[in-house]
Amino acid sequence: MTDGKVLEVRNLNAWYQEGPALLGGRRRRQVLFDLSFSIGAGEILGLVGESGSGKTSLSRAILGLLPDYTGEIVHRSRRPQMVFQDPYSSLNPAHTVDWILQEPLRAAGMRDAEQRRAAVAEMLEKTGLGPEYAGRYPRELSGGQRQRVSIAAAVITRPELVIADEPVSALDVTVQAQILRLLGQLQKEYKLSYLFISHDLNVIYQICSRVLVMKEGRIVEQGPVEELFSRPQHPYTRQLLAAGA
Amino acid sequence: MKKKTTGINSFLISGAVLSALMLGLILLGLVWTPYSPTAMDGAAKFQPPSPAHLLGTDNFGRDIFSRVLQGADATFLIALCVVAVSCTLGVLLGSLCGYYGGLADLILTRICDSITAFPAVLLALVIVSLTGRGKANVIFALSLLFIPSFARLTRGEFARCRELNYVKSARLMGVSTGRILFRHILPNTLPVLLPAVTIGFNNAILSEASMSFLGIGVQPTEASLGLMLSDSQTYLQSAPWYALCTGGAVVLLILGFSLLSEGLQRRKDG
Repeated sequence: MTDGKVLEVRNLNAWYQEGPALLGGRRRRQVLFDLSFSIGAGEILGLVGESGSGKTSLSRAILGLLPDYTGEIVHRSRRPQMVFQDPYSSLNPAHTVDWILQEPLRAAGMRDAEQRRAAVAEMLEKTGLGPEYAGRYPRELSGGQRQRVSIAAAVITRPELVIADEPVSALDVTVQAQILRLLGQLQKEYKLSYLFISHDLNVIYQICSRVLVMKEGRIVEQGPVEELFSRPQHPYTRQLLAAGA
Repeated sequence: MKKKTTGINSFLISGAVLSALMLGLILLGLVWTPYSPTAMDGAAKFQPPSPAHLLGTDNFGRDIFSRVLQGADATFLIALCVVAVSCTLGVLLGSLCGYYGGLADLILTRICDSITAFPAVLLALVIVSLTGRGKANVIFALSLLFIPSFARLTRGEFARCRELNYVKSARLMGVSTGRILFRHILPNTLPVLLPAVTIGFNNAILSEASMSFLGIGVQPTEASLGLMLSDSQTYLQSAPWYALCTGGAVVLLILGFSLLSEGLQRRKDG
């Protein structure tokens, strides 16, 4: 592992606003409690926890979508990108794969259409889709193919950090393995770091080097995957392992 | 989710054919009519349809076919302007309200609701009586009244799409808000918007005809389908073809666009 860090979070507390916007009837509800962790360059950090444990809130906080927080979120990366769980709503149905993949490049200011097309062709090949998919619409693709396109769109601008929120949970097991392999390959090739969110410990075990275990907005345990799986310290981790086995 | 057009969409085809036919006649009317629509002929009053006068003549001996062509032009142009203006403004307002939400959205939605609570023609009467008669004022009044229907529809669609992951990713990529609104979201609202445009077009034709019928729309010397209908009712007994042919033109015009809209909707639902 390299010593550089792409993300450092120190003593993060975050709140959601609840209640009606008018009439000043808002209440704060704390969703994240005193989180501290970091993601090293080229590291795949797993984030486990049951639903409602604050996994998604944490990713929103990292992306700057939770305005109400205390503590520090230090980015050493430009524009972290995201891969979502649902491959059906993450691709714009009105546009072709080619347009979808060019869009992040356009947004990043790449003016030259030739250059963009070359980058798209490269990504299509790297994600195992091939050039014939450029002209297709998302509705013509299977769930696994859509997820490949989503990953290509997230990675095409070479962000240092990719947040993958349950990227394989909606896929069946054989496709899951293929997508995980693809994520692993891209990570090595482009020196990416992932924050890999999942409720599935098997998936975490396959791809991650280090894991955070979250429960009710708190990190209850963190450590290298092997260690955590062989010698879980916290009762909740043991419970998760028992449930996953 | 997966949409494939299976079989032939008979609504879409018949609507397209009928609309194209009417559109062809309207374009024809812009450049050529068999007689001058205003040429009076005292000797040829109230002639029933014949090869010389395809749809007969009216109380001044004017050729009804020529007048229907010209009247349809006026009606069509007004409806086109109304839909263009109200759709553009409605989509603009609706997209901003739907995407941003908040207090401005709440207020604008309520204003739209209160406008919709009144019958369109009644409100148009009020506006025209304030601004004066004439084509431009009819267009202004109807455009204003048609904004809410487009705004409400667009607002709903944008509010739905705002939370979808592809819009979230676009924001993460740093795509500008204008581009998200009009390149990312707008194309996805077209399946809902297009049928609404055709329905709005029909309503505009009917509203214009109603207003001219009531004498506050297009003014005499010019022809308009509504105005002609208003004239023809006096002669319903003696010259029924006058009312039938004029009314028929309105019906065909609207039928074509209704079929088109129905066809578009069916294509959307798959």
